[in-house]
Amino acid sequence: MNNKYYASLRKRFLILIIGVSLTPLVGISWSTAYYFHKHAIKHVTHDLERMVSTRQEIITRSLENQKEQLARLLRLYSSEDLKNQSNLERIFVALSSDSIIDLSVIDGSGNHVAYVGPYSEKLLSQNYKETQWFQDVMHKGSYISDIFSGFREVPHFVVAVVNPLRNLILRTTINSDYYNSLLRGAQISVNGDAFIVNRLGELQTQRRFGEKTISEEEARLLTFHEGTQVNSIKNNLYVTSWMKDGEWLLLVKVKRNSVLKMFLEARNLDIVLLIIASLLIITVSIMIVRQMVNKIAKADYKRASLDSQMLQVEKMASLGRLAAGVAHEVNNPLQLITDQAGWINELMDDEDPKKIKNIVEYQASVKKILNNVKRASAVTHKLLGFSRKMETEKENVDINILVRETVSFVEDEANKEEISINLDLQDEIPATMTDAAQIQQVFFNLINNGMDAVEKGGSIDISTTSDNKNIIIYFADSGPGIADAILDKIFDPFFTTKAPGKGTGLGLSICYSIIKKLGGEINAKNREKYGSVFTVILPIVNLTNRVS
Amino acid sequence: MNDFKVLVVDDEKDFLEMTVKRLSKRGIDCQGVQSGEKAVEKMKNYHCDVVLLDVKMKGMSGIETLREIKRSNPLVEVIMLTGHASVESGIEGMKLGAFDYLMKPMEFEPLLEKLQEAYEKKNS
Repeated sequence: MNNKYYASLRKRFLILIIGVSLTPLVGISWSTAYYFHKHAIKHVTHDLERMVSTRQEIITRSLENQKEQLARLLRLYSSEDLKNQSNLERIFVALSSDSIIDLSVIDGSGNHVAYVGPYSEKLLSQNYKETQWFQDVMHKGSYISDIFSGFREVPHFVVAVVNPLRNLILRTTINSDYYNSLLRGAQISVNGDAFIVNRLGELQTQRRFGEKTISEEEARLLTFHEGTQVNSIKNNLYVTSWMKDGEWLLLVKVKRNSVLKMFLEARNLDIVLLIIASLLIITVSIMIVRQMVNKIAKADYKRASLDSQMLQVEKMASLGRLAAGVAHEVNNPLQLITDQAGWINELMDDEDPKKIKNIVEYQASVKKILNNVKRASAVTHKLLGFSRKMETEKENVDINILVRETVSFVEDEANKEEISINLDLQDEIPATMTDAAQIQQVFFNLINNGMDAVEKGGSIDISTTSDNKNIIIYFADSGPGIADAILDKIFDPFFTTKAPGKGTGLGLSICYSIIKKLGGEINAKNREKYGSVFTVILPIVNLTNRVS
Repeated sequence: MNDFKVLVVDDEKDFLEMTVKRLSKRGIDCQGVQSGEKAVEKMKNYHCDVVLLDVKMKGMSGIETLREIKRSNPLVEVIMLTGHASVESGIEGMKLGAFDYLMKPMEFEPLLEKLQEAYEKKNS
């Protein structure tokens, strides 16, 4: 067997089967993971966008409310009323909000004219005419500052509104803790954060883990955009929304793995299942391919064996035809030699023996010619017998005759090698309908093998016996026997123990096939003391049996 | 033995001449022809008792000749003789009514005995 060929076949089958099985599996797993991930991202993004949008709206409304409240006070009260300290205190009490720290009234020249709150001593002497916020509020009508600590050393921001006549400003200070608490609810996931920065990236609210600045990657998000936007940077998702006319950016940061936890768990399970399924497919594929290729190899092996047998049969048939032709061509001249020699004899009978000087020599020569023609004739008759046996039809065969005839073929060679062939044939063995030519080939092969096995002076014992159903023929030799390890392989095609070039390894395989085909059995075992014995069991088939 | 008439049919000229010569020497009325066609023709005028017929010949084969002889002269005994041991032709010959089937090379004495047996069968 060509092992490389079958190894390559095995490899190709494996690649094909595993490829065909795993490709759709991997494809399905990948597409499922891809679309699940896409859906999860979409879902998470949607939730985050909604949350950020809501928070942004709440903060924006809260700031607007502060502004609206101050504008309403300016509309409700006259300038004089608001400049009155006791009035302002009543209004402050009426506002009664945790987030409002103080309330100031500033005139059009920037002078602090009334104040309610904890820092009256410091603030009442202040003039704000040159400050940016004052100019902004005078210019725009209202103002909301960034968050700063100032001299109060508490993060806060101010909201200021000027009356239509631009001569009175109401200003209130808002504690930024209120917004910190508003954003705390948006700090989702374990490592998540939510904070507000201004355009310069300065924090307007506290960060969850106390950072005082924003990172470089967070700084890259400080680009104005409408609505809410989701950005994926490294392992984080950032949801951003600009507010306060683009002055503040609400930024919510979540760890991607935290929000996609369910997806990641499902994906990991998917990967584990994929690995298990792949391993199963590979294992089963290897087993199936191994079995399949072994079967192909066996079938090839069997076919090669049958081809060899067919070749052998063809060769034998050709040899038979050749033998018949040779016999015919030789028999005709032999007939002539016989006739001519006989004719000489007859003519000499007519002569006077005394007148023929060498008559005795002539008669002896003619006799020798006739004897040698007989010898040659015996050879041609054997050839013709051999030729006839090449025909595959079954006939009534006397196994003992067949054994004797086969032995006669090898007798000369056996004598030359000083090998004795001993026959112990059962008398009156029943004849059987079988293929004489094929059986003779089996006997011939077994005797030849025996002769190869024994040394000079060895022996081959052939015996026949029968019971009601079978004829049994034993071929025992005095050779070294067969090693136990190879005893079950000797009938395999191409198995030989002979030196290279001396045996084809087909002899016993052909014997096995022939006997099996004829419904018999053949086996080999070692004799108790030395040598091996081959047993051929042939069923007794007669015409009656055959018809029935 | 002059009543005993034998026709030898064989395309081997040497064999034919020698057999005719030896049979004639034994006092048998013997004629020889080299083909099946000639044998059939010869037998129209030559009423032999036994035909010694080669199976494998050029032209009309031994079996065809046998069939023709038996058709026109059913009482004539035919001995088939050949150098080729074809079982089929032997069986066919016997089926067509041949007396026997002999293999070359055949010694003269056994051949003579076989011819004698055929002659006796014919006249029995």
